[in-house]
Amino acid sequence: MLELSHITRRFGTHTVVDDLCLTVPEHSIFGFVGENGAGKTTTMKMILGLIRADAGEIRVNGEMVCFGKSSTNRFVGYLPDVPEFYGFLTAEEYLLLCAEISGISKEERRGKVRELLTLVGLMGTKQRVQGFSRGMKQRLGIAQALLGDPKLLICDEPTSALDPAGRKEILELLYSLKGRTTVLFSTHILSDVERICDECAILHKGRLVKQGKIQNLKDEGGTQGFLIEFLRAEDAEKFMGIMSGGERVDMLTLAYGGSKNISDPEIMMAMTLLVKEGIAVRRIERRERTLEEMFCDVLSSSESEGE
Amino acid sequence: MKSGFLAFFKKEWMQLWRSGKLMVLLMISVLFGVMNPAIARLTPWLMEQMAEELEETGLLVSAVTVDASMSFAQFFKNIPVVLILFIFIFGGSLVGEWEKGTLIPLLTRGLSRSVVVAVKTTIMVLLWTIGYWLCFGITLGYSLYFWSGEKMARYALAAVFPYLFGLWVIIMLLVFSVPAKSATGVLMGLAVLVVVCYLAGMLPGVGWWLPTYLMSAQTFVSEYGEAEGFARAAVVSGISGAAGYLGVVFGVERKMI
Repeated sequence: MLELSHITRRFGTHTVVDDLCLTVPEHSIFGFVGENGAGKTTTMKMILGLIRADAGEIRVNGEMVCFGKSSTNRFVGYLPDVPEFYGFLTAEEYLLLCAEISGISKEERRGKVRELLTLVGLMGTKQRVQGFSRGMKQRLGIAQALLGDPKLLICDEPTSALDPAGRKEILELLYSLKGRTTVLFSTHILSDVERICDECAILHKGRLVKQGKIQNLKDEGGTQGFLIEFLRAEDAEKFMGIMSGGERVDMLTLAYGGSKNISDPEIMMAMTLLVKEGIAVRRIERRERTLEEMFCDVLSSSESEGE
Repeated sequence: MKSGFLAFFKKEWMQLWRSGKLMVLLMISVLFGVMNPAIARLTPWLMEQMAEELEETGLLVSAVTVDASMSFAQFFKNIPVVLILFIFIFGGSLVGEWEKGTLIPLLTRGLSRSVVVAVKTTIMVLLWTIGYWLCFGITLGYSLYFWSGEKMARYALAAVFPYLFGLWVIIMLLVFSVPAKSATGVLMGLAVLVVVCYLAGMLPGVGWWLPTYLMSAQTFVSEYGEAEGFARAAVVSGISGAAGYLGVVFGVERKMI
């Protein structure tokens, strides 16, 4: 659906995006991850033809993107990081304006707009946009981006400025689009990526440092030991003496394996010892590497390579 | 293209209406239109009222007679004020869209950048035309009512020059809106341009070639011989305005948003 090939963009002497190659498969929810200033917004604006790429090629649905021209944007819906709309219009009036600009026929316009307003939960809102909360603006932004059933929906940090309830709402809304459209979703909130994305790419200082399916990326580091949560603090104390190598996480929990990979026999041994000693536990859990840990590892290894 | 123009035009019109800018502009036009003949009409009475006071200071006031020329003199004096107010109202029209990022969703929906420039220009030209000629029409109507219709055709022709200057200023406002980051930047750029034009106009033989010369239209009524100078300034304004418009389209097409 989207291909970026050797994209570079400089602002003065500063290279914001450096030889970026990226492929986003159709119907996926694709997380575009990177710290602030990593080049995510610049890349997205280049995909939309709002910023010129100094080098490389961008293709949307097989068509080349040209700076300043909007022909490939007929496949794209875009939600800016801080969506700004005309405050003097109502949500319905704003969407009707967008629909008219998109060339949607007069007969279809109203029905389509109402359908989208219902989808984002703004149906019946008579208030003008100037009185909208941030969450309402994001929802209107998503409705606007979905007008014309785009093949690719680009969302620039749609959850970063929202409270937890607003974030949950937007993530659920984006997840509900799975299968209907391809979503490119930039963020620096990794739990959001873990929650809804199939794949992700990590951008660091304008360079792509990692790309792949979320589970594969997490599996790359292997399991990170295991946790045992006991019912009583004395049991935890006792078990520490029975099986060495444990670290206290809290009064009831012990962690084994630390940061190194741990094999199945060690977990089996712990379980055998627990049964043998007659100690009941609340849970035994394999510790998987979180996306956040993977992200930090990737960034630090990228930094050390740079040195 | 056509649907984009109409849709964006409707949006601009609704914005003018709901923000109250349209009403403010019409009120300014009507107010100044009425004020011009009213000041002329009231001048003898005011002088009469002040005569005693002035006599005490040694100034003798004889009977003051007024005619339509005084009303139109007021019109030409007040038009720069109307134009400045107009610029303040519309100074942020295009630059405000960059500043707030409101154009981004529309551009990504397929609205062409040249349509944005065309609509903004059309709206400003339309409102300047309505406001200016409404002001002139009211002044003309009252002047005809109170005084004789002598020289009216000349006044009407003279009034074309400040109107053309207003059109030129609108284009220059758009020119400065391309690189500017705020309405203040646009207004400052415009102020510097007009001041430079006025200063350059003081040089012998240069004034006639500058758009600012169009604002001295009152002299056209009394000194018919200067028509050539106004024509020259109008042509220069037309050429520089057309070049400016093309420059705006070119600049906006290449602007990183």
